Order: sequence, then C-alpha cells, then structure tokens
Amino acid sequence: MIHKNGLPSDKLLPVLRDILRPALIWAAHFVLVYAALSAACAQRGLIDPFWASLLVLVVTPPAALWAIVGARRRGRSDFERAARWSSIISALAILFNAAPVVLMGGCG
Amino acid sequence: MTDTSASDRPVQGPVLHDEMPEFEAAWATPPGWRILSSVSHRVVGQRFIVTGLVFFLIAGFLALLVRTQLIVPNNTFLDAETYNQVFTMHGTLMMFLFAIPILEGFAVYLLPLMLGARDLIFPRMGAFGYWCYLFGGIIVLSSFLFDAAPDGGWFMYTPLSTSQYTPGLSADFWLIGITFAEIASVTAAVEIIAAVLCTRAPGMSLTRMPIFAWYMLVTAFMIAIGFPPLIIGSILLEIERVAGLPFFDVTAGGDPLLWQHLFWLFGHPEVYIIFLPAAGMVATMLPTFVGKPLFGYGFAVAAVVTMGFISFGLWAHHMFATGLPTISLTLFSAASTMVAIPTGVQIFSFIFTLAQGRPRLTVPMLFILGFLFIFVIGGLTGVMLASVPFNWQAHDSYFVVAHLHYVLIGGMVFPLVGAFYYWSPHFTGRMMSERLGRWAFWLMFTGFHITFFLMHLTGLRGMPRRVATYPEGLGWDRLNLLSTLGSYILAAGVLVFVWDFLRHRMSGPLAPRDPWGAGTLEWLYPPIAPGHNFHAIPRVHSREPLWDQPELLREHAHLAEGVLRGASHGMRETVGCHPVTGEPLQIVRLPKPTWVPLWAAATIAVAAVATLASAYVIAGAALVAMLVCFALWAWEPSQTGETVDTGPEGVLPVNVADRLGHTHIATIGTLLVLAALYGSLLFSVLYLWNVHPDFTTIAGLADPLWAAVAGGLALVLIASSKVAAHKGPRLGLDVPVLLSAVATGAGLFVAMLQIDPRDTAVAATLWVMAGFVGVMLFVMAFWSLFLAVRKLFGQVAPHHRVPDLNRGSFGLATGVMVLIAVVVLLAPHIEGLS
Repeated sequence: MIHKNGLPSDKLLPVLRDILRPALIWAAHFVLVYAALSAACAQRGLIDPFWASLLVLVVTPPAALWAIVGARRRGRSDFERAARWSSIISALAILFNAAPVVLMGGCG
Repeated sequence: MTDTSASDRPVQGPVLHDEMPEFEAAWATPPGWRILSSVSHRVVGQRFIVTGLVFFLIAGFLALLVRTQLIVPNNTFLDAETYNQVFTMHGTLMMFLFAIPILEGFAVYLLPLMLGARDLIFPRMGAFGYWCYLFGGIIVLSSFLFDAAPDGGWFMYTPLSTSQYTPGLSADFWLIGITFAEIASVTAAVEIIAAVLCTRAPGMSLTRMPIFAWYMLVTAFMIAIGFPPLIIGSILLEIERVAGLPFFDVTAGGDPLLWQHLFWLFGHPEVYIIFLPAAGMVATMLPTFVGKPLFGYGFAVAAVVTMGFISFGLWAHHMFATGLPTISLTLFSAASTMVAIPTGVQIFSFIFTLAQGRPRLTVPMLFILGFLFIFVIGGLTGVMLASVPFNWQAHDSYFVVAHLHYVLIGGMVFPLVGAFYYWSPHFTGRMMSERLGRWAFWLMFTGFHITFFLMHLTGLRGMPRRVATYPEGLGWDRLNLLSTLGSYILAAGVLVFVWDFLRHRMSGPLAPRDPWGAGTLEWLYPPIAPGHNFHAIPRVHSREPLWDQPELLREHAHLAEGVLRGASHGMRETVGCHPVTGEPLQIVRLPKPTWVPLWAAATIAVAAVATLASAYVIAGAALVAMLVCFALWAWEPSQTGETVDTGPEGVLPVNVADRLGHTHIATIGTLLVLAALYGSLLFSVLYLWNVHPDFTTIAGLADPLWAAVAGGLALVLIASSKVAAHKGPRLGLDVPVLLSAVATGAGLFVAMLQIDPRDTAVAATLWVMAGFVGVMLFVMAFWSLFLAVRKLFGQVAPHHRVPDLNRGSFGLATGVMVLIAVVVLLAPHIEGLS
C-alpha cells in the first residue's frame, strides 16, 4: 500500500541504497586520490607523480559512471528524487576531485 | 481525568492518575533533588540546553572583552597574556561547550516527540553523556580559577601547545576537559542513530520521517566519524606532554602538521555538524509559517546526505598556508568549492518553500529570514576562501574571522534563537513575547552586521587575527571602533532574548495545543505533557500527521488511537521499529530513573582531575570504579522472549535478538566510532612513515613471530565470539572468547617489546595503536567475564541471545583491528625482505 510521501515497502531499501551508494563511491574515490597524491608528493616518494595522475585518470571515469547510475532511476517520489540528486552531486564531486590532478599533473 | 502537572508549571497536560495509575507511576519524574537521577529525554534535553546557554553567555562575555580591548589602538584594557586566554576560551566554549551540546539538547528533547517514541532509546546513555559534558566543561572553565586558562587558541596548535612552549597545566586543562566533554557528543551520536532508526511511530518509514530527523541522523553519523580524530590527537598530545613521547617533535620524526591534520579532520566537519541541525530546525519551522510542506524533501535529503560525506574532504583548506604540495591544495580547493552545491540545494529548497505561500512574520520566522540572509553571505565568502590564491592573501586575517562568524552565527545562532521562540512552549508551557522577540531580532541582526561585515574590510586592509592590540594609523582604527560598538548592540539583542526567556517562564501567556499550527507530531499533546510523551503511539500516514490526519487533533491527545496504550506490568516501554519501513518490530523496555550514569561520569571526572594533578594512583582507582559502575549499569535481567499485546499492532516480542534490534544497531554505531578512532591512529602512523622516512628505520621492528601469533589468536577470537553469538548463551562458550582475548593481547604486547616508543614518533604512534587494540581486547575480556558471571547467577535464560549477538559483532571488529595491527607491524619485515 502506498501512502502519502511513501513508496511501497519493498522499494524503500533499493532506493535508499541508490541515495547512499554515490556518496560512498565519492568517499572511496576521494581517499584514493588523496592517497595517490600523498604517495607521490610526500618526502618518501613512494610512486612517481605520473603514475599517481594515471591512477586517478583511470579510476575516475568508472567511479563517476557508477555514481551516476542512480540518476537513471525514474519515479516521482521524494526518495527517488533524492537518489537522482545524490547521484548527480556525487558524480560532479568525483569529477571535481579528479580535475586538478588531470589538469595540473605532477605535484605542483 | 485530572489535569495537573508540576507545581511550578502551567496546568495543562493530561495526567491520568485515575484512569491509568500504573502508567503515570511508571513514567513519573522523581520529585525534589532526586530529579538528578532522572534519565528522561525531556529532563536530560533541557539540562543540555540550559547548560549550553550558560556556556554561550560566558563565551559571549569573553567576546565582549576581546572587542573592548580592540576598540582603540594601543589599548591596555587587557594585557597580551590575558587577551590570549580570553580569545582561546571564547572559541573553546563556543565550539565545544555551546554549539554542539545545545543542538544535541534540542535533538534529545525533540526527536522522541517527533518520531512518536516515549523516550530516547538509551536514556541512561543520554544522562551519562550530559554529566560528562557538564564535568568536562567545569574542568575547562575551572582553569581560570587556577590562573591556568588555555591560551594557545581553540585549535591548540603544536608545537606551541607542547610542554616546551606551554609549560604548566593550561593545555592539559584543555586537552583533558575537552576530551572528557566530547564523550557526550559521541554517546549522543550513537543514541541518536539508534533512536532515529529504531523507535519511530508505526508507519513512519524513512520517507515519512520528519526532515529534522534526517538532518540529525546525518549529523550523528558525522559526529561518530568526525570527533575521533580530535580525540586521538588530544590523547597523543597529552601523552607527549605527560610522558614525553615525541609525536609532534620534529627532532624525532614527529610532525606538528600531524596535529593540524587530526584537528581539522574534526574541525571542518564540525562546522557542518553545527550547521546541519540548525538547518534541520529551519526546515521544520519554515513549513509551519508558510503553511505548506517543505519544498523538495527529496532534494534536501540528497543534499544533507552528500554534504555529510563531502564535508569530510575539506579539512586541509584550513592548512593552505602550511606548505602542502600545490596539487593537494587544488584537491582540497575543489572539494571546498564543491560543497557549495549541496549547501545551495538546501538554501533553494528553503527559498522555494517560502515562495509557495505568504509566510507569517512571527519571531521564529524573522530569525529564519535572518539565517538565510546571513548564511548566504557567509557561504559566498566561503567560496572565496576556497580559492587558494585568495586564501593565501586573507589567511589569518580578520576576513576569516568575519567569514566564520557569518557562517556560525548566521547558520546556527539565528536558527537556534528562532527555535527557542518556536519550541519554548514545550519547556515552559508558555509563549515567549513577540514584542521582545522582535527587539531581540533587530538588535542582533543590526549589531551582527555592524560587527562582522566591517571585519571583512578590516581583514582586507591587512589586520591579522589574534593580536592583542594594534598601532594607530593603519586604517583599522575606525573599523575596529565600529565593530566593537556593533558587538555591544549584538550583546544587547542577546540580553533581550535571555530576559524574555527567563521572564516568559513566569508571566508568558499560556500556550495552547499546537500553538503555531504545525504538522509534526511533537505538537500532538498540549505543551508540558507530564514525564512521558504518548499514552498511545498513533500510526502515521504522512510527514505532517497533524495536517493530514485531522482526527489526531479532533479530540484530547490522550484519547488518540494508537498502539501500546498504557503500561503493561508498570514498565516503561516504547515501540521499536524496522529501520527502513518503520513497521513495528519489537517492544523496547526502557530504564527507570537511576543514579548509575551520574556515578559513572563522576568516576571519570575524578580520573580526569587526578590526571591533571599527576595523582595517577587515584586516577587508576577511579577507572576501576568506573568499570564497577558500568557493570552495575548492565546488570539487569534480560527480558528477551517476553511478549506484549500492543492493541492495534498485535502482539510484539520484547527486545528481539536480531541484527535490526536497537542494541545491535547501537553496537554498530559504537563500532563506527571505534573504527574512526583506530583509523585516525592508522592515518597518524602512515602519515609519519610517509613524511619522515629517515626516522622509520630507527624505530625498531616488532617481533614477527609474536605478531604472527597474535594474528592467529585474533582469528580464534573472531571464531569463538561468532560461535557464541550463533549458539546462544552458554557459559562454556564465554571461556574461549575470554581466553583468546587475553592471549591475543599478551601476544601483541610481547611483539611490541622490541620497539622503544621514546625513539621516534612512528614508534610512539605504533605503541598507541597497539595500546588501542589492547583496550579493545580488554573490553572483550571484561565483557566475556561479565556475561559469564551473569550466567552463573542465573540472570540469563537460554533464549537471551542479545548480549552474545552484540559481543559477536564487537569481537569481529576487534579481531579485524588486531589483524590490521599485525599487518602494520609485519610490513617493515616484508619491505626488508624485498
């Protein structure tokens, strides 16, 4: 039964996952970018900055695509709208994270 | 029916002494001084709010001292040392002892009422948190009495705060007092997570949850993850000050920037931890005055959730001037700019809600409009400061002071004062004055802008922060004079508000039922209901049940249809729900008034004060007493397996042993906090290892054999605790858990003996990491011993699986932490082999 502001019970959990998943992907991507930059640009110099940039370049498109998957969810309920917007905001944020690395390269 | 209430309160809420004597007796608030033993969310919430308000007034007074000192150039009103103490304590009190606790107080008070619960789900934990907050705050404040007030800024940067540059106890007061007070925030976070997910009215799915609950749920998760880095940082710094371990000492491979990373890993999310609850209040009040539901509930939920995540990616924008690699600066600059998008989505959601109707310009509404105006300006200057080149120019100038006050006063204080006017009937049964409220608003609004808008200009003209005075003729004189006069006007506005708050308690007009025509459930009962919330918990069908279910307001609140009418067996009970769908899952039994939370907090306070006084034997004894208190706390007969007839929702089990049960969800919440603490330590180890590679070779290596043994024993610990969780309560199953926990700790300790913590910062941090794991293992051992004793004394029936289930999850997490520690300890050996 669908009440006002509601979704059928069986749809709630998948939509909730669609709200949270993009944000979690953003978090994982951010940690990876930060770790890559730290590995390349700190004193220990674990990896070459080129490889750090390449790593970010490689993981960013799938991460952004995976995050944006929720945006194709149809439906007019508030929760489904939340899933779409969470996807859009998170995908944009992933691209923002990667942009400096891709545009600048090196450690700056 | 007898309409009565406490003698000092208006006669309003229905107290059914005649019809439901058992119910009234079960929920009665203890009279007289025994009210200190109350654990009711109404009592605890009000304690938080009033205490937070007191700290706000003290911190505001300190701010006035700062502004008075700066009113003219070369002023001698305060000497430099006192000035440093005053601005440090101003920031400390405002950020740690006012902003977060008072918002938590509102959450503790309002959430059960909004969600349809009779109390918060862990009332004793709420009370314990409050006492920790109070005692911690008193410790920090008492530093003034000993002429040892902290003077290193609210951020306590190293190396200034190390014992070399800050001898004496001032930094110790800060580190110990604030860490103690933070227990309140962390416990409240776990409690709010469990309460929001597990105790909602029947039918209140996540999509029908009041928007304030969404804001508080995200905030609680942020506190659980955001506070641990500072707790770890404070512990490291205190150990360095007391025991001389070199975490931040560059001569031993330490790094002052590690403190800044840990501090701002907490400090930046904290801004959002302060903003989000206040924005949640706005999102709750605004629809009431517009008469329409919040525009874009889905947009707001998406924005709050994404903001909760993205706000953790901004911390280093407070460190743009510390020499981080430029590429890192751009990463944090990008994330700082990006957070403007979810913030903007929320603001537009509020603006479109306003555009849906003709808002009633009440006092709360004025403060909401003030919030929108001020916070948007603060947000815009925030975007400016996210730009690295501009940040370098404005860094440590009054421009930053202006920005942060626009964000914090606009984003938090204005909504908070609006919230006082809106929800005060709940506290006193009376309405605050519209006339005085308007005076308060206009004085605060005008004074605020005169004070802080001009600071943008002062900063752009180059005036640095935290200077006790300045020479004349630099173009700062008139701006400072006007800012100080503005601060007096702002203070006058605050005083009018405080006067109104005190005055209305005695002489304000009585508040009718649902005085603002709101749609959320907290207004179902007349203000000042007695100690409980719902005689029967109604099923809800929408987000604004009082608007969409007119039958709820048609007759007396206590006659409303609902589940769990009355109190079976004279016990305190509420309905536990499925976390997603909101459908009833169980009956949650709640504790009655008890002194144990107070005693437990008092023992920690004794330990904290004894540590300050270097009386470590007393501190140790106090910690043992604390363990006794916690054992008393948990020593109660299990009630799993009993059932209760709820009426419309049929028969429900009591305290189900299930992963969706409230105690298990609280266990997961606690593990989230512990994982964040452990993660902060791992970050510290990796950071020092990465930034100072020369020192890691001196640090010494752990014994690989014993480390591997500890890893193997950790697997036994995981397996034994999981078996015990699966098989249910049997005394024989507690023994392997207990023994494996003790043996794992012993193995890890022996493995660490080859590392001298005084050698290098990495070595010291490895010891703290191992020590943390040791504490986790100790908890496992203590828990297992406690459960075994309970079973010996017949406190646990064969089907009482809840404690074993929770210990199983805790054991898994502890085992994984040991394994991670073993990998960290073995990694240098593998590196050496390669």
